[in-house]
Amino acid sequence: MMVKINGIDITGIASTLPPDIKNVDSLKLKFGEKIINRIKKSTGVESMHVVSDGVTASDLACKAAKYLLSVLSYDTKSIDAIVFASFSHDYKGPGTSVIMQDRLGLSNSVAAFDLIYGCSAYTYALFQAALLISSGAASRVLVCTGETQSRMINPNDRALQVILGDAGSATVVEKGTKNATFYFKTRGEDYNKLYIPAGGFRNPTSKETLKENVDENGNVRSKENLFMDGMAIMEFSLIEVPLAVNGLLNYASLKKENIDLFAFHQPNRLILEQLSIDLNIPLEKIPIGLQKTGNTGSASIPLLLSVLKEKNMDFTNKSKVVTCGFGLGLTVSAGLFDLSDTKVLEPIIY
Amino acid sequence: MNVKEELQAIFRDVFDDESIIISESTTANDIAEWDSFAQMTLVLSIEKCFNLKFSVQEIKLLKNVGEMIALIEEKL
Repeated sequence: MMVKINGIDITGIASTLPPDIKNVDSLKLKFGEKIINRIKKSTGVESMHVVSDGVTASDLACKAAKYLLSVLSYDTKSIDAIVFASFSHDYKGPGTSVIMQDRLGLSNSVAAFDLIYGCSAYTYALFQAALLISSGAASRVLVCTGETQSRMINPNDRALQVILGDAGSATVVEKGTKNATFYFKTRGEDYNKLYIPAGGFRNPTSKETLKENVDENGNVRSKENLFMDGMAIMEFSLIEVPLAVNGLLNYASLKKENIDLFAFHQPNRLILEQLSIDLNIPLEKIPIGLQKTGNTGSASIPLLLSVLKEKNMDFTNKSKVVTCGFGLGLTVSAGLFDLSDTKVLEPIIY
Repeated sequence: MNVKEELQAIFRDVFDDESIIISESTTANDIAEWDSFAQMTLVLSIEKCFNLKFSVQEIKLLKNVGEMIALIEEKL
């Protein structure tokens, strides 16, 4: 599905990282020095921020939201709706958006939405905000993401321990003068390539679901830990992201050369470098910003933008920015936005 | 182009081990570090080197290096 929505401004973006840092090198003792060195070379991840026990996605997102609203000098009561996109919910129910409404002191009249997506979440959430605004239901929407993925992976799952990090973000979307274009694709037939097999109502928690198993690569996980078929996800990414980017640009009647920045989800360096080759877009325009954060799921795109701001990127000349998230679902979402007037803030520590 | 020689060079680079000698019967079990990351790196390196594309299904069906060589030669 593709659509263009007029009158949508992204006013500000903020990101939060938890204070604790996990160095990938610290895993050498557990998994072996040579293996970790090789994996680091492939992923590009040197360290990631991880939450301590008890810290949740809403904690991270709340911090980012309060910071952003404060910098923008926006009253919390001016927010008409909140969208929270995440794969790491505070509770099985209710959704985390209602928790955020309370914690941020938003009006009781806000509409609160939760979107259960991971790496593709951000652009879905921006789309939800854009729809609320274009319908006339809202003038100002708070879009939040937050992931505490470190708490859903097995400590002995080498493949995921070396790449996943935690982060939160907040974005203000409001009625304005700019346009946004969106592309979405869903491949539900591949839902079990990246999922938590048990703990929901399909496979409730039992002794069996908590039992740890070792896969052919030596990764340990139970059915209540996050599972990822790395090869399938890589193939999905390398097929679907070029289709999404080319589809979006064709729909918007733009060429790749017209785009100022491709802010992609940050799965690992290997995939991003391959996308640069396959899309014939120089790496300078597909920045890799995961060295110190890892793959942070739903927060990865806003966090990338914050990391780029920290590296002194000038956003005033970023009037054509393509975002593309891909993963859980499996789904892919892409968007074209004007960030030239967007207040992008450097990451802050929770 | 000798596919086996090129493959050997790719294996040595990916596993950072100049002592690796591959044969048609080499499998993932013969190289201790052959995990999913190594698999992804291998596949992308081979695709880049030989300018071809594999599907996940094709990769999953491969039993050993001999079958990998045959698949590459089939695609060249």
